[in-house]
Amino acid sequence: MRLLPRLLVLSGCLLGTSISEAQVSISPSPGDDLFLEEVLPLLEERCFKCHGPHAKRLRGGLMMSSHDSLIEGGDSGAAIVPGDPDASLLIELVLEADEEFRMPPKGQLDRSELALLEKWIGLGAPWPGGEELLRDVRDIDLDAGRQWWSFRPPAEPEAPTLLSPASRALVKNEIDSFIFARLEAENISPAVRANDAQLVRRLHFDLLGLPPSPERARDYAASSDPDKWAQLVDELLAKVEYAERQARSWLDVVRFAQTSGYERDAEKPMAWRYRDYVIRSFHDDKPYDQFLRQQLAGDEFENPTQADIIATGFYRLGTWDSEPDDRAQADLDIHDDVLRTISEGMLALTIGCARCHDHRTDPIRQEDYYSLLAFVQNVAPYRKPKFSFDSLVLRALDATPKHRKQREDMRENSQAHAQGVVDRFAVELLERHPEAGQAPKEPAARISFVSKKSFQKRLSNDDRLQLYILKTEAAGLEDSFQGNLTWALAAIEPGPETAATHVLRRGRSDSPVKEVLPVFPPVLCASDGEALPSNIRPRESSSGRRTALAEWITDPRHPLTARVMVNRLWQGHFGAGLCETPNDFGVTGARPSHPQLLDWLALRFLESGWSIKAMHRLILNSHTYTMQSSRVTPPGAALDPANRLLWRQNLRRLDAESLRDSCLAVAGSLNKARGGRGFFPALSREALAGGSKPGLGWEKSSLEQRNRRAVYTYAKRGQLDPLLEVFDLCNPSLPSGSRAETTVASQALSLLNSRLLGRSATSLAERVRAEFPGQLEAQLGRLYGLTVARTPHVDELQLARDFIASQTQAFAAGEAALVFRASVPDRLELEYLRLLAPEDLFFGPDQGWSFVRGQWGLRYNQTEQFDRLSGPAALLDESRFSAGEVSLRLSFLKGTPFVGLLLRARSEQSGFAGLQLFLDREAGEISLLEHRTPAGTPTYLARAPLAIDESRDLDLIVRLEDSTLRAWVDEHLVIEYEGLAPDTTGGLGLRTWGAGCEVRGLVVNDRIIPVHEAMSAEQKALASFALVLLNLNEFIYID
Amino acid sequence: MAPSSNSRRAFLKSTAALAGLPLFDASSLVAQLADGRPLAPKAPHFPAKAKRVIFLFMFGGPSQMDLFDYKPLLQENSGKTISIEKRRGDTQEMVLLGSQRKFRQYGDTGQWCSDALRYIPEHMDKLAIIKSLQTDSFAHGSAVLQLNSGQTFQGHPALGAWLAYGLGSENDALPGFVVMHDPRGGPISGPANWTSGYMPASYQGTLFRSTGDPLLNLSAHTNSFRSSMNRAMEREQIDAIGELNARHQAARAGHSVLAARNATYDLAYRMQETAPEALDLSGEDEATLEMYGLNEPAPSHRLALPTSLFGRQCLITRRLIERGVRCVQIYHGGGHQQQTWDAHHGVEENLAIHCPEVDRPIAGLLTDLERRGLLEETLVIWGGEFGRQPVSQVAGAGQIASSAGRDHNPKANTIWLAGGGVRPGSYGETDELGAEAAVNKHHLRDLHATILHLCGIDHTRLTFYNGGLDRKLTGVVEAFPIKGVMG
Repeated sequence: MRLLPRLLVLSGCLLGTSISEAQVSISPSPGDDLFLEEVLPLLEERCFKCHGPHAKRLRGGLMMSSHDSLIEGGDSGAAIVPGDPDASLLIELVLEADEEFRMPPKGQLDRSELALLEKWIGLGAPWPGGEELLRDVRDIDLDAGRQWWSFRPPAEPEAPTLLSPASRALVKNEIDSFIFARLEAENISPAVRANDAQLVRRLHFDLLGLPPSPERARDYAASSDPDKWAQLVDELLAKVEYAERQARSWLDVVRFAQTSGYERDAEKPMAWRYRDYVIRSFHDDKPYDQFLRQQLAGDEFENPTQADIIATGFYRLGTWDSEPDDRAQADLDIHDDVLRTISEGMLALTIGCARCHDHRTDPIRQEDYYSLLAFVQNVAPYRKPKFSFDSLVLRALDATPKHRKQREDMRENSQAHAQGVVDRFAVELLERHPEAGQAPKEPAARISFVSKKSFQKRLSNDDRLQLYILKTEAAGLEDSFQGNLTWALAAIEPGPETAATHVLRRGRSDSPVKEVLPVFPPVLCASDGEALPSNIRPRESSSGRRTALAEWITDPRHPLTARVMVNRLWQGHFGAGLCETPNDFGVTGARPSHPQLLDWLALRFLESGWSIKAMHRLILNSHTYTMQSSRVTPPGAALDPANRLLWRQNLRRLDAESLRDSCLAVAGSLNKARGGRGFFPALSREALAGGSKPGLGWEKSSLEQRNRRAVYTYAKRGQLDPLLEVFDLCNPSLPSGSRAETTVASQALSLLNSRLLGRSATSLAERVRAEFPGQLEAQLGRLYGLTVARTPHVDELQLARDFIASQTQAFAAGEAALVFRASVPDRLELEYLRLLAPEDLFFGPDQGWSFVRGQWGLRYNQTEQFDRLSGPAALLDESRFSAGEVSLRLSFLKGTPFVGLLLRARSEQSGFAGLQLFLDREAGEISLLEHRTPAGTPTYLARAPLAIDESRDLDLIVRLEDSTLRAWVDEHLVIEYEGLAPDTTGGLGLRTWGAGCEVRGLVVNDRIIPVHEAMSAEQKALASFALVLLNLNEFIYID
Repeated sequence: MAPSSNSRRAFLKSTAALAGLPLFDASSLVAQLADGRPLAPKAPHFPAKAKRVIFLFMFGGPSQMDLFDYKPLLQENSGKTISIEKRRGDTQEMVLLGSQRKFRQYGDTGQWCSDALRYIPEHMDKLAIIKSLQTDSFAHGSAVLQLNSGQTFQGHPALGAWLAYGLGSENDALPGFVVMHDPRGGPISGPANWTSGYMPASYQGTLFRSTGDPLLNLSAHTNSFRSSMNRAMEREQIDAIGELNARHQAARAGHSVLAARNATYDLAYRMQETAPEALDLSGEDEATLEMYGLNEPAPSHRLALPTSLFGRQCLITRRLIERGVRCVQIYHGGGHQQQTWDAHHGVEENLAIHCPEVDRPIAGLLTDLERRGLLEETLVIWGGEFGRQPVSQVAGAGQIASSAGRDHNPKANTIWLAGGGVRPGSYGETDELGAEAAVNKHHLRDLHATILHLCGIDHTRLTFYNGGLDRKLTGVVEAFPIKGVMG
């Protein structure tokens, strides 16, 4: 389809007038660009030490600080001939073969550097800015710049008059007048109102991100109250779910996450308080100016509340490299990241572009960047957070002076206590291993004794892990002890004094050029004079600069703040903003489609006291919002296919979170618990395997927790929920104003096959079965109501019945199997490994079997690997089996490395002992192993070659007598061993790894071991249909 | 329908910049993106030999002076103390550590290689070994990010994402950018290394496993009732979805995205066959398996993996390339230190662990690509995030332990290219000790510009609008393709 209307070509530029109208003359010549970007830095780096303005001793009499000085040259004459590199001495000396004369004297220039100089001289050696090479400058006319549409304060537009009575009849409020007037100019009529069912669904998803209940939709349709729409808007705006959804958009803007990213991707403790603060703020309809002031400078308020402090966590949300190449530069990058987030998020201004040079397109000088940076640069840069009163990152919100002493006491006690716990365990271990010899009596020495390699090798896997964990925890107590206090990530300044801020050449921390004071970007102020803050008042422990910044940003006269936010709110209701680049209102951004409407909305926003809910009401009560979206009709379809003029509403896909939450909601599983640190989605083996220490920083949450809304997902930068990611969750490293909307096959795979969807479809089917037992038609009606908020048509019912009948039959015909496989990757990080129960490591039948953790080892860098011979296993309950016959049919699944059949197996010390018939596909052999102890190396009793072909099943029969074992594979005797210890008893078990195996027809001494099926064929078929509904476009798109 | 503002911006700019008028271009990649086909194939900027890229990422930073960068003077002076600037502004007295490997020249190009590798040097006349690359960071995290995305910061699209964005994919039943891991673990910073950053998620690298189910969610989660459905039942389910979608769509003519999304179900269904099929080596003859090292004996070192694992990944890579995947990246080395090429704790041990793991498989891959006529249109990249130091990391003055290791070195890195449009031969030099690039030195961004150039892409024209500028893989500083390695 066409993206852009023919209109654009026919009637001038719809999205705004051309750039030249704004009279910002800005584009430098290509040569200037080359000079500023490349040549100047090269000269500075390689030549200025001896030939620059700050050279200690000017060599050869050559000064290279300007075009003229290069022509003037030094002792050997002119250094350059503009336009003729071959005739230029500079090039000659760079190419000089004799090292003694070659320039620069140390380190030859590489080919690209030489090419660069030649190109530059060839272009006439342009040197914009003349002698003043202190800044990467561009000629910026601020007065002209102030005329840019978004830099002019919003002006009260005249309400347009509509000519057509048809349009006039549809007008609900002024929004419609602006929209319809623009449509009239193109002879397009606005669309009619959508039907009640569509509107109720649309409004629920827009405001709550959740589907309406069928009851609410029915009541709405049945009501004849003329005010019912406005009432529904109010009703939904009052819900917490509204705030949870609205908060998510803001969290995108401020690139919220709870970890630092990079190698360690460590937790930013208490970051969740900021998320909860944002939700609370939207719920309370906190005035937007106050919302911004709290985040920018809440700590500088008089008597700040806890929320005021928590809000300043805003400064702590970005990525943080714990091992940077250059610490000073990295700290500067942190401030830069904050400044970009402020400017793009609150002002839709891409000021970050002016860090290294004047902004290429917007009237912002490099100096303006640093002058604005000066407002925030006093915030202590992020460091590894410590729960201490002198932390510059974490603050105890409820601490009083008295707490300091108490805390010290508690910390000492708890450390002593922790050491005691470690020592007690050491004593216990020593008692268990008397063979290790005499151990020291002093606790610290005792702990170090049991930590030695020579002692560790005696320990079982569990004991080693336990000791490691205890020691780590005791050691970490210093930093992680929170006491009984409420901590928050916060902006903290070291004191009222500020370090000087400098313009930095190329944004490098080690190349200050000149000092600047905190000044607002003049182009955003009515005059240069107003750019100087008049109200910076240092506080006891901070500079007061951020308060001045907050007051400037939230000044009602600020040209950007209100416009930017109403544009975001508009985008939330139409899929695109009036300005389509919500984070960039500058020259490179899009021009607003309805600039006057944007101004009008911004002014109403200010009038309402920055009330976000009032703005929602205004937009939602327009006719424009309620227009139908599905029919794409002429002339709009031809003239404005992209619907920028809003002649209809847009059809929109659910965003990632709404889609996931809706699946849980219709299944009746959604847990509405609010707030807190968040939950950890269950990750598959595949998703976990991507880390350098798989599972590092991940935890295990209960199913109930995992059923909470997506906004409460623990936001780990290095481990996003794959289901959300595939549906265009934004990358939480950069500020994001809008999400992409892609359509790819992996989305279909996720909605068909992921654990959450399988679970939701099952619960949804069970829900309607429970509500209408035995009444398929009623069940189907309910399914439709819950998922797409309507009743099914007759032929849809027929399709559903046929589908369910056919699937029921097919499910019933399938041969049930016992399935075993690994649930985790080969290697896991120790702490994560500790959190997992045996059934989290190894998957097997959910009834009649129990699991053992088995052996893990090959420890390296806080990770351990499962043991191929003694790793996790499933043991068949109540299966005393010491003699007789076992038979089964075995299918190796794709790539499964081995299957082990355990015999006379006993669960011991979280592992197993007994016999193992080990079918090793990789080695192409079958062997009989004896595990005398769970931790020891098993003994090979017998082994024989066995080629295992994944594509066909194996029939395995094992006959066990007192001291003899015989095993047949496909009726060939493969193992025969006499000499088993006769007294061993125990049960049957199974081990495998990777994709695992399926077992059918397991018979133990003529007893058939049942395959427990949690669901009947009918139940599965209904779930299968429920899954169909969750995959429909009708479910995933909003009309 | 509301395409993302990003895409519309990029569309506006690209079309306007190309011709000034008209403002409509149906073939625009953004139009495809908006229509839900972000990976539709696109023409390069200019004709090029390389159509696909294989990136053999040697994570940890292989020791160049023990492999390809022969430094006789360093070997002669091994054990002597020198003053060396290791990290920026940090000069220390350290002991030179000469390579204990023996070197010799191979092929017509006469390029040097040590005896740590036996099979790869047989292909010497296919390799352009660049010895003079420099990168910005001394630390793994940021250096790995930079080799992948051009930036030392997290959140920027990886090379493979740029290729998928710029050229699309030739097979829509497979991802455009595939990533495979070392079984020991992923590289540090994990998914940030194959992210699509500020681009749509469809360009990000897709993890592809060499055993079992290659793709996430390719088959149903074992806990789901769907795992007991056979292909016919799945087909029936997808048909039901299609039929109900068609009804829904009939009332919404003009919304092409609905049809596009419906079509992804057939694609997903096909993917369930095409993706595992790439893993199915049963059609490969014994000689091929042997060539990739699939029959090599098990290693003895406890941290070493059987050669067959990387061999299998290389063979699967060839199969993916044959099927039109645009970019395959395999990480060799996963986890930390000796699990990777990060030889702090012993260069000799590190070489002994890792060289046998990759040597035969990579040689086999080059042979196989060549004999199938794939090499000339496939660019193969081999290398790690930085080089290593000529000095011993832990040793007293004048003595070198047999376990001596080397620290990171961002000032001298060796990366080689082979295949599509590459001119074989040694390029660039380090100083006599191998401490720093000295002749024809290039920043990493020049390598990125070169890779794009070999794929027919002008690195200055492949841009994506974000945060106020048209971003490029090579960043804001001007980059120059390395002419000396292009045929």
